[in-house]
Amino acid sequence: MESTIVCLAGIPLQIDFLDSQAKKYFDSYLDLTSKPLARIGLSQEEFKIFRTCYDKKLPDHYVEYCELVSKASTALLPYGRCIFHSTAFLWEDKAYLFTAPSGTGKTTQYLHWKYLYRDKVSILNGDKPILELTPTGEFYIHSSPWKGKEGFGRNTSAPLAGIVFLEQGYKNSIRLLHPQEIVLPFLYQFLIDAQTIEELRMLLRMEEAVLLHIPIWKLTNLGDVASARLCHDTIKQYQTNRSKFL
Amino acid sequence: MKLNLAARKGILLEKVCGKYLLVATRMEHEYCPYGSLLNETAAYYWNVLCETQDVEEIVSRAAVHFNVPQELVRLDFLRFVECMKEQGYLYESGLE
Repeated sequence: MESTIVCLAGIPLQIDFLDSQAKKYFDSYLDLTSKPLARIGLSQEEFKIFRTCYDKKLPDHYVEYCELVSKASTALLPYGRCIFHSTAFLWEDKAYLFTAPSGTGKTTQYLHWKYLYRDKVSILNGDKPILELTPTGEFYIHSSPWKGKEGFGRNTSAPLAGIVFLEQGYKNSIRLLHPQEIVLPFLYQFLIDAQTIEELRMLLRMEEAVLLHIPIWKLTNLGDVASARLCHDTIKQYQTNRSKFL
Repeated sequence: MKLNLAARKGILLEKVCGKYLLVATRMEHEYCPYGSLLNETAAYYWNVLCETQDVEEIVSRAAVHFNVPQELVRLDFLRFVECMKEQGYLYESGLE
């Protein structure tokens, strides 16, 4: 069994691979000098179960890479970090997340922003960034090796400034959500393999902290450029108003 | 009357932003949903059910807690139990 050490959101983790070819997906995150704080890997039994959920044409090393995500996320949880299913991008030195169930249009929304705002926005991670809650109550977004099918991402971090929950609809509209409205759907966006009650407690504490301190909008949209403009202008207005009171 | 049902071990009930959230650990995913929202009454029933399976005791405690007649609580509680059993959060304790 081949192993390596990677650094995810500042935490060194040892990964034990069943298929040594899976190691290549983690090349940009190697950290061979640090002592790992946790160790992750799939058992043969787990792999056999997960394998049945994937297309037979996909190679084993790719399946292993995909399934390591929730293992990594759970290992990061005691360190105040968790992988969050979303598209993370940078705008005015802050990170924003588009989140939604798969196939709702997270990447499409980002591409519309890129088309409209060019160099003012850049991708941080296309599918599974790491959300960090620091001991002082600040939130950061870090990239991860899981960048989605488009492979969007670069190994960097930024403070989290807002989250947009996407929903497909017949017209474009956006509104700021009350935390209570989104407790359950938001929980499903944290990618975790909680084996214990204590891990669930840590997760829920993190969820509550995000819901109470980060503005979250619901963007119902047609998947068009106009929805991106509406989203941009709404957030811009919010941040401008907010800065007046700080 | 004692319920022949028990709450699954890997389930956590927590209040998140004022909402009661029932969440399951991975080993329970094949039996029940990962997460569900409960109202305040259901959350109360769940907590008491984790302490005792004695229906009369639960009903009398809930009747005092919510200040409503026992007959009303009994109906409501049994509906709750049926719903939780259907969702898999409760299992027939004699079977596992």
